[in-house]
Parts: sequence; structure tokens; C-alpha cells
Amino acid sequence: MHHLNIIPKRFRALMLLLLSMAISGCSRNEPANIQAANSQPTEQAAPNAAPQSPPAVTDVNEAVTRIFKQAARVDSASSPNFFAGDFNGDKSTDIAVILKPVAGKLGEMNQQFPPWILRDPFVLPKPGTPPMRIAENEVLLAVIHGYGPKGWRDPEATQTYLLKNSVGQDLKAQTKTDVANANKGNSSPRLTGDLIGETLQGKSGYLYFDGAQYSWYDPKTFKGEVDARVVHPGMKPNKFDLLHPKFVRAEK
Amino acid sequence: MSKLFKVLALTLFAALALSLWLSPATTGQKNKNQVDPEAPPDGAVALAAPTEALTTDMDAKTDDLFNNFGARGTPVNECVADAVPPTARGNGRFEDNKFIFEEEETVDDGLGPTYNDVGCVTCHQAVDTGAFGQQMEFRAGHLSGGNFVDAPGGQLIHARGTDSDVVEHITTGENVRAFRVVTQALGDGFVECIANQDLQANVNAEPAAQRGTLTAVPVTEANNTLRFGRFGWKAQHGSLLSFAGDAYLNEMGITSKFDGFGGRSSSAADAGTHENPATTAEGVVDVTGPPFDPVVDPEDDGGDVLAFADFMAATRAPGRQNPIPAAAVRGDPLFNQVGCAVCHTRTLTTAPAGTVINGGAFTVPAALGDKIIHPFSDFALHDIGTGDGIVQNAGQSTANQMRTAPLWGIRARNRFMHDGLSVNVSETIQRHAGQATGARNAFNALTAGQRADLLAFVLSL
Repeated sequence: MHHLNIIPKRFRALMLLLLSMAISGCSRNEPANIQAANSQPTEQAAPNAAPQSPPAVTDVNEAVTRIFKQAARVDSASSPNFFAGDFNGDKSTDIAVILKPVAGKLGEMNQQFPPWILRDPFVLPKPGTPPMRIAENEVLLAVIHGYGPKGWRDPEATQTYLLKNSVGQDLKAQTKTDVANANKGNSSPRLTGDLIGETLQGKSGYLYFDGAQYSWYDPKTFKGEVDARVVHPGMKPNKFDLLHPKFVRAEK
Repeated sequence: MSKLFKVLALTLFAALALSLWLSPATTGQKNKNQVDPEAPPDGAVALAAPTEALTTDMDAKTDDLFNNFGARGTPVNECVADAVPPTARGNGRFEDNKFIFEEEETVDDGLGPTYNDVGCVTCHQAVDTGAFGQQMEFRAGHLSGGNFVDAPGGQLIHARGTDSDVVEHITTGENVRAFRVVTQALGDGFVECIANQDLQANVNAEPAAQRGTLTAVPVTEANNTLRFGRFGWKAQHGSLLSFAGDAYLNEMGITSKFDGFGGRSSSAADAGTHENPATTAEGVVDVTGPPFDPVVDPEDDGGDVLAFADFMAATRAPGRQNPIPAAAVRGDPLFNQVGCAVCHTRTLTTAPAGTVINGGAFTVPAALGDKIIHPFSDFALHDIGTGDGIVQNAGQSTANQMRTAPLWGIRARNRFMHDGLSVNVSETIQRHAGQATGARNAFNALTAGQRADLLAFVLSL
């Protein structure tokens, strides 16, 4: 402190002023979160989902209660009846659970505005169609999407897809790499996360999240989304038709 | 010691002077992310407090769409006289512009060779000209090194072609695929007139976890000066002229000096001379010129694009349901309570009349200036777990972000979210995740009656 006393007071004040001005002058006052046109990538790849302990029955029951209150329970007749994975590809671990409605609680499962999305992977939703109903004792597959590093265990993790006609045999989570390796040579839809492999109605395939809902992917029958190029009877195919990967001649 | 501090002080002074000298604000140089503030002209004095924008009643039988931007004119009767397009923003007539917006293009007009539909109104039609449609736009590409790359002939895969040889087909390798529903354009003139800094201030006021990303996008008619984007599912356009020029090229295949292809300036020598290449089975086909495209470029002299832009600019904002049902009144405060209004911004005010916007290319007219609007959008991009993986006029980090859907007029459509795959509002809310997780959970925590009221409110917009 003695040393500071030898500095003239006015000089110390000037220094403090200059220091504060320099700091404020150097700091950028740019608005946050602006993405410029044609800019290069600025985001690092999101870290993989944090490693988590395997799902335990108590945790799964807690998650099911968080969503369904007392209206549905884990189906004890199924084995396994839950498994984890990152099914929507957001780097947060999700849980898939096989459920059954609780007796006497069907009304809650069929409430008008449920806090879940009820879907049948084999039926496309259309405006104006009557809402799907859950039947007594119906076996359902719930996929509870995780939130943040805690994944499906996070109290905020409530986004849930409840799937009808989706529980077959040998359900398990599979990575998209495993699925791609197991089905080399077959085209596939865009896979963003893990898949749920199973045998459903005698056919092996996968449930996958397509960004809006869970859909069924059968590698043996999936044809991609390229329309066939059809040449009708009496028409001569041109060179583009002949080169098309799905060129077909329509029968008379 | 005193000498040492003098040296230190001089060093600090030099650092300060250098930082100020390098500051863009003082040099006039802009970094690539910078957009200009859009302030009223010097000396301008606000004449009156902002007033509510004129609105439609969203009823085609009774609607008056005109908001007093420019002259109204009279409905066009082609047997008497052709519609006359503007020669500059605002100097045409609303009814003429509407007629041109409703016209169907033909091959002789330059339609195609690849295109999605034959006129603006074919998609922007319900309930009024300029509003919604159920059509889907198809975009595709693939990932390379984690980055989105357009399909070889461009990410927009047109649904139609004027020649079957150039109808687009993607390969299975283009496995990032997205369908997007048509947005509505009523009231977009008011949206265009929101100053950059007002959009920024609104986003800055959002909690950090929910804060949106504003895109700085080129304004074609202003030599690609950057402005905050606000139109399109990726907020990929900042001016109606850029938006309309892009749509004329990309949705109908008609070139013009405003087409902004590749972000190119409209003053560039090759402006209006590029059709969209077609992705076909034998690879990418350059469809510019014969035999696929017999019309000389540019196919439009810019008049039609001006008419489209000015028609949209002169439309009223979508108005509320009238009368507002009691349930919607009860649901109104719940919209804020659960957090929907954080991103679905209820109210914004346009810049005062006389403010120069769009990189200097447009001056806010009295009909659009100082107007209070209720778009229920912040016009920023957010990650709510529904991103489609497509990158447009901004960087790779926006691949999984989408613009907050403006909810005004939402009751006039029944397919929601960018992909139209949610067919009721309740499920639409359940699809909200990521930055909207808290709002979704707060909605789910409401009583059944409150949820019904909130949904009634949304469907009263």
C-alpha cells in the first residue's frame, strides 16, 4: 500500500478510467445467436449421450408414472419389458417400455388431449380421421425421449410416443451402424438414431424415428423413396427411362 | 514507480485507441455476420403512437385484404385491360398485383423445365389469396463429413417438369429428406417492416435456454446486403422481393433479375440466366436453354416479381376469430403462463414510416409503419427436436433448427409443424422438445380443462 501512495491520485484515477474504457472497448457488443449467410459450420458435433447405468425397474416405473400417472403399468408378461437407446438421435438416452393400461383407467389412456403422441407405425395420420383408441389389455410400446445428460431419468423427460401394434418378439435396441451392417445392399430410410429391432407378425424389421413419428422399416421390402419410372403400353422408352434405377414397363 | 505507471497508462491508452479504431462501428466495415440497424431518418419525429395493423377476418366471402400500401385500383377484367405490374416497389396497384399473383404460368412464360406449381395462388390460396395450401415442398441432400450437402442438382427436388426427361429423381444416397408445407403470406408486408434491431432485441429478451438464432441473409435487390431473415421455414429471406424472386425461380422455374440464384447479386452479368439443374436418373442435367427451356432468360423482366412482393406487402394481417370463444379467452393467459409466448412472440411493432430497410432498397411506407402486429413468432430459428437436417441460407449449425411458425391465421389450416405431419394442435405441442421442452411440460401439467382452453386459444388465432 505504501508504494501506491507515491502515485499521484489524479494519475491513479486516470489509469482506472483508461483501464475500464479499454476493457469495455475491447468487449464486443454483438448480438448473440446470429447465423450468417453461407457461413461455415460453427457447431461441434454434439457429444455422445453420457454413459448411463442400465435401466433399473424402479427408475423405469418412475418414468412411466411421470407420463401415465396410474393409468398404465409396465407389462410384466413381456420380457424384456424395457430397454434404453437413443432412438430419436438427439444424443440423450431414451427408454422403450412395454406397457398395458391399468384396469379401470382406460378413460385416462383415451383422454382427449393426452400428454403423449399415440401412433400406429403402419398408419399415416390424416386430418379428419377419428382418433385412435386404446383397448383394454392392449399391449403398447412407449418410447420416452430423454432430456439432456440425464436422459429418460430427467424429470423433464416427458415427450412420449405411444405405439400401437408395435410389440412383437425379441425386441431390442440396435445402433444404426449395426442395422446397416446387417442389411448391406438394402436401401434404408434416413436413420437418425438407434432402432428397435424385433419380429412383428412374423417379419423381422425395425421401428425407427423419422423425425415426426416411429415408422416400420423392413429391409427386405423397403424400396426407398424414388418413384418408379413407368413406361405405359405402346410407348417407347427413351434413354432416360432405360437408365432409371426403377424403370418398369407397365403391363397391358 | 511513477514512470512505470505512466508507461502502463500510455500502453492502455494505445490499446483503447486501437480497439476503437478497429471497431466496425467507427470504420464502417462490417464483419460477415453484421446487419445494419434500421432506424428512422435523422430528424424524423414520431407523429403518433403505433397503431394496430389492419386485419382480415379470414373469410374469403367477406375479406378485404388491402392494407392501404400503394393504390388499390380496381379488379382486373382481362377483356378490358391487362394487369399492369409495378416498375418499382409500391408504384403499382393492389388489384393488378393480386391478379398477377393469381395468374397461372405456362411454358411460353418460362414455366419450368422443373417446377412445383404453376402460380403463386395455386399454393397460397386458402382461405384467401396469399394464405395457406396443403402442398409439400421436397428437399433432399446427404451428409458429408457431418455437413449437409445438397443433392447434385440442388436440394429442392421439384415435383413436376415440363418434359418427362427432366422430372427430378433422387438416388437413395440422398437420404436427408424433408417435406415442408406451404407457409402463408398474408401480413408479410408488416413482417418485412420490422427493423433488424427490433427482432434482435426481442430475441435477446428470451431466456438463454430458449433463445432463438437470427439468420443474416442476403437481400438480392440490395447487392446482397445482409438483413435478418424472417420468411420461409428456415428464415432464409429477409425481403419480400428476394423471397418472391426466389419462389418464382424455385417453385415455378421462372428466371428474373431478382432470382438471387446462389445468392448472386441481381446486378451480376449472369443474373436471370440459370435454371435449376435437374437431378435425373442419368445425373444432373443442365436445363438452361433449348431443348428443355425455349424461353430466353431472364424469363421475367422483374415486373411479376415486383407484383408478387407488393401484393404480399399490401395484404392485411390475419385477424383473430370473431367472436372469440369463451374457452379461447380463458386460454389466452395460459399461452404465456406455460411459456409458448417465449418464442411465439405475441406482439411486434414495425419500424416508423420513412425508415430505410432491406439494405437501403425499401422505405417503410405509412401504411406499414408504426404498426402493431401479432404474428406469434420471433422469426428466429430454434431447435425443438423437429429439425429436418436441411441447410439453406445460413450455416451448418442451423440444420436442425426451424423458424418459429407464426401462429396468426393458424386456425385456417389442419396440418401442422413444418412437415405437416401433426394433424391436431395437441399432438403438435407434444412434438415440441429441445428448447421447447419446458413449455411442453408446463402444458402437460395443466388440468384437462385448461389444456382444452389453451388449444381453443391457439385455434382462435
